[in-house]
Amino acid sequence: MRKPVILIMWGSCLDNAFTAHGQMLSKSYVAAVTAGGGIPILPLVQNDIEDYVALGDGLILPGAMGYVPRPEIARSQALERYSRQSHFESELYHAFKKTGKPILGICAGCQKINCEEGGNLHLDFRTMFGIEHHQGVTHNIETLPGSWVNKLWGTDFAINSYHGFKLAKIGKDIRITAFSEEGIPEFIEHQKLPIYGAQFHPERMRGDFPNPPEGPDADPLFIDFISACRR
Amino acid sequence: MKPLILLTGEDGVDMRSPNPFHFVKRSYGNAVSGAGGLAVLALEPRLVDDYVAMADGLLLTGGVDIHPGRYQDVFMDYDPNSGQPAPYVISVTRDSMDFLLCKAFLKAGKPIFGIGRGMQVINVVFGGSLYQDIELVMELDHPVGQDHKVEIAEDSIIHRLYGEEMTVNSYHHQAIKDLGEGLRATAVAEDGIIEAIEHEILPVFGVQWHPETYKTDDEELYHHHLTILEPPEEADPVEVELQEKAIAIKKPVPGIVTDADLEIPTDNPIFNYFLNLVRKGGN
Repeated sequence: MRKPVILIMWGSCLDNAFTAHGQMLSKSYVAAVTAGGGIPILPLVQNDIEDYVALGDGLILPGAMGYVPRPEIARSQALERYSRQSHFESELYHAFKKTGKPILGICAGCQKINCEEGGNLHLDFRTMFGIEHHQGVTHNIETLPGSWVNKLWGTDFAINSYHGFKLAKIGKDIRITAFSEEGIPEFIEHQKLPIYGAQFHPERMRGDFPNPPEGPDADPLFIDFISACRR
Repeated sequence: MKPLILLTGEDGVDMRSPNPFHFVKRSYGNAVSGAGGLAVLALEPRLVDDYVAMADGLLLTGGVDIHPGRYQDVFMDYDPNSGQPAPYVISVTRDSMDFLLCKAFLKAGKPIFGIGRGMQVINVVFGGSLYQDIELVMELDHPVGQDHKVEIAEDSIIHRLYGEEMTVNSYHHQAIKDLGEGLRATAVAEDGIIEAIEHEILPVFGVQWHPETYKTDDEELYHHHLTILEPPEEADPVEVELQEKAIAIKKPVPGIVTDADLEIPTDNPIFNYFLNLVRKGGN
C-alpha cells in the first residue's frame, strides 16, 4: 500500500542568492512525518491548491518560521511575505477541510486553525498575565480523559513551549483537550472532523535529541495521525 | 491530473535558530505551474523511491556549489592567489538529495531539467567535472548579474526554442570543465563557457542561466537589493502596525499583494518544453 502523502504548509523566507521570495520548512517536521510513515511534500503555488488537496492524504500546518539572509533587508519585504503566507494557508486549510481528510496544526498552525474556525488570540499574554511560555521553557500540561492527546500520552506530562500568542476565544466545534497549570490551552481537537492542534512542538519531542528530554516520545502522535490519513 | 514535478531545494541553516531547514525560490514553482505542472518540493532523501514513484519529472534547481569530491577534485577552500579563505558554500546534504533523485529519475526514464547548479549536477552525475571558480581558475570575466549572449548549437532543444543566438542572465561562479558521458554542449558563451547541455538519447537537459527568473520581479529585486546599503524608508507606522496586527491574528491584510493576485507567466518556452516532454513520458 502506498504511504500517505502529507502536505506541509511552508513559512516565508528570502532566497540566499537572489534575495527573492522563497518558501521554507524546518527539517524537524520532515523527520517526524517520515518516521510516522508518511511522504512529506511542500505545496508551492496558490493557483494549484485544488490539485494539491487531491494529491495529499493529510495536512500539517507548522509553527512560525522565517529566514532572511541579509538582516538589513528584513523589514522591507516582511509584510508582503507574511501576508502571502497567511492567505495561502487559509485557502489551503479550507480546501483541505472540505475533503474531510486529517489536519494537524502545530504552534502557530494550531492558532491558525482556531482563528479560521472563528476563534481569536491574545497577542501578548506574557506581559498581560505575566506567564512565560516562550523561548523553549519546559512545563507540564494536563489532558482531558477520552481525548486523543490523553490516549497518546496520559494525563500529566512535560512539553516544550515556544509561543508568544495564546488561544483566547475558541472556534466553533473546537474543544480544548489539554491545559497548562495556568489554564493556557495546549491542545485542541475538532468535535466533528479529524482536525487537531498542539500549542507545543511535538516534532521536537522525538529522535536523538528530544526536547524536553523528560517529555514523552512524540512518534506515536505522528504514527497515529499518518495512519488516520491512509485511504 | 496535472503532471507532478518534483523540485529540489536549498538546505539552510540560520545562525539565529537551531533548526536546519529546506527552502526554495518561489519563481521555480510559479514557472512550473505556468507551464501546466504541479510543483512540489522534495524534502526527505530517504524517501527517494517514493518520490520517483509519485512524480512525473524532476526539476533540479539552482543553489550552492557541489562538493568537488563528487567529481574527484579537491575543495578549493582558499583563494590560490591571495591565500585567503574562499567564500564558497557547499552543502553535502543537498548533494545527497540532488544526486540520489537525479540517478533515480534517470533509472526510471523520467525527464530531468537542471537549472544553474542543477545543470552542473546532471554533468557530474554523468561523470563530468567543473571549474571551481570562473575568475580564479579559468581567469575569465563572467560577472554575476550581467546578461550576455550565447551561441546555440544546431539541432538542439535550445535551438528549436530560441534560434541561433540569445541573451541570457548570469548568476554563477562555477562552470562545466569536462562534459559527462553522453552529454553535449548546446549553448556556449563568447568566452567559451558552456551554458546549456543535453543528453544525446535520454530526456535530460540543463541550462546554466536562470530562465525562471529572467526579466521577472526576482531580477528586479536582486538588482534593487544590491544597491541597498541603508534600511529603506519605513512606511507610515500606523498603517504598518495595523497590517502587522492583521497578520498576527492570522487574517489576510487588505490591500497587500497575495499569491492569488499574481499573474503566473504561461509563455516560458523552456518550461513549456519540459512539461511537454513530461506529458509524453520521456522521449
